[in-house]
Amino acid sequence: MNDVQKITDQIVTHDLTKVYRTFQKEAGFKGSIQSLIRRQTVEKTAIRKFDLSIDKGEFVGLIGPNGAGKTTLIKMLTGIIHPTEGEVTVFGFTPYQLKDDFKKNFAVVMGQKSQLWWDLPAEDSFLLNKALYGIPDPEYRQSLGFFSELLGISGLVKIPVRNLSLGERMKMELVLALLHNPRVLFLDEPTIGMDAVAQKQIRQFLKEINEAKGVTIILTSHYMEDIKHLCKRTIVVRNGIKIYDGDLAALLDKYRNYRIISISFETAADLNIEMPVEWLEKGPYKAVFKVPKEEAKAVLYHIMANQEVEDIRIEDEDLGGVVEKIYTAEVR
Amino acid sequence: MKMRKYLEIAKITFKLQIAYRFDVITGVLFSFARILLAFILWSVMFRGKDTIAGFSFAAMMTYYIIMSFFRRLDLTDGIVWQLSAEIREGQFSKYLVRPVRPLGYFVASALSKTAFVFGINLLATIGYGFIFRHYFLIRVSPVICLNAVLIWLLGLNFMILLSYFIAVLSFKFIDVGALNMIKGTILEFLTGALIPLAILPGWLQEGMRLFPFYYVYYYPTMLFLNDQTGQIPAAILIMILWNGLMLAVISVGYGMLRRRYEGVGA
Repeated sequence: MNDVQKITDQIVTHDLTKVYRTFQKEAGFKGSIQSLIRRQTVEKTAIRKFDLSIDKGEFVGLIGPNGAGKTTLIKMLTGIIHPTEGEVTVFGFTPYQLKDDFKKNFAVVMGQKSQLWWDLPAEDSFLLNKALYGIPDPEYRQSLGFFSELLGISGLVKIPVRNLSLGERMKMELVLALLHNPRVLFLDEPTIGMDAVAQKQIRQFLKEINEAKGVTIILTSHYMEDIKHLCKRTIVVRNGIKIYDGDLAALLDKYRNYRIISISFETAADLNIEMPVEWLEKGPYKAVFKVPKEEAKAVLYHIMANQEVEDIRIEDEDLGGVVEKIYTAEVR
Repeated sequence: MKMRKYLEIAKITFKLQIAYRFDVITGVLFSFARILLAFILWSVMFRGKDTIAGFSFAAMMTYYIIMSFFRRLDLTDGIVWQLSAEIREGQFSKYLVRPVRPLGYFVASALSKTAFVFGINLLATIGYGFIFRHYFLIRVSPVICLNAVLIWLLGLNFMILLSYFIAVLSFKFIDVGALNMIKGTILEFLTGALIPLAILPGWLQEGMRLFPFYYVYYYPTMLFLNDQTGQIPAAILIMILWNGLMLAVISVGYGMLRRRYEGVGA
């Protein structure tokens, strides 16, 4: 692959920075009057010297606590906002120039912002996008058929959007976004508020279009299940800075320092012994405890040797707790 | 290809207008009721008088009917409220991520809404013309009528551009509601919607002829009354110049202010 080809097949940022300027006002009536006369401007750096390189066909998860800068990053990659400093290119285009050729290369779906026409059937929104993107008839029919079958929505496209469930609406949003066969898809919280079944269907669909159509997908989600099931690569953002970029399993492994062990006993157990564990439940016939993963083997061996064990269950540390540790970890 | 996308925007806007049957029927009835109320009002005003400010009762009714017909077709005020709210709430992003020019989108959408209201008001106006045909004076040639429609279309386009520009100021000022209300109040007077401009002193009317608002509703209405027909070429030229100027102002203003957009909440 030559250099030009590489640039046109990559999303690259270098020292990308976004600083928002906003007003600050004291609460109360006096504060409101003061603000009317003289306003205090404050600056907030949402993204700071962000370097990134994503190859064609990757499925990348972008995670971080609220206000970390994830959405700001997506807004800069899609050209919605201008960077304050630094460089950004998406498949060879400079996003904020907002060229139509660039717009035809990507799609963005924001879970909380619909692009569908609320009072009309989704098919009308599809037809609008067909005209906006200049999609030829055969390609439109083929894409619509493919996505409808994959998501099982053929019977729903003629129903006004307002009458659809949250999950059905998100399926329509995804079809709308993908009709023009974009090379990259930006997803911001696509499964927000959905039940487990709908979440699973959306995940399955995203996996399919990533693999079958080679669409590069950048996914922002607070649901770690989404990231865990879909993204081989995860980028963690905190306070506008990239604190991790790599394999999700390795990241989880690094921060999963404990095992949760549940044991039931056949006879009353005597657990008044010195062990490096944190008891979550401690009874004569059942015990649940948290143990450092490197100590788990020795602790289990000790209990099994001294007690009448009926059943044992070993679980990984809760994902939420691990994520919390990742978000609050020291940046190295 | 480019025209097709804006045609589709106009089509989907039109579909939205007719999505609710009750709304459509109410719109027709309301249009007809307005004309009936105006008839009653002016009947009282003309009691014991042959003319008011040189207008006979029939001429005044014709002026009112055509003027209110044009005014009802001008829905450009909605552009300011919609676009300004979309900029403020971060919804404007949807125009930035799709291959469409926001200005083109709003022009197509506004024209489509006008087409819908045109259909409804035409029904009411034909109904009025049939019932009160003795009070409806249109004595002009089809050529004058076509020129009146052309000038009205240029006026409508100017109003769309003006509303769009005011909304674009939201990139900097966030809330432009007060500015829009001031615009509405001033235009009420300048366009002759409040009173026929013929009532005003001659020097003031001469001055107003250099500005676009004179041609938005008032001048096309007067053409239908077979008045001021000799100024048609000048009127067309003035409106083309003002439309061009407004486009240039939008182009510069949008280019400068769009960078301030933060897509808050998006």
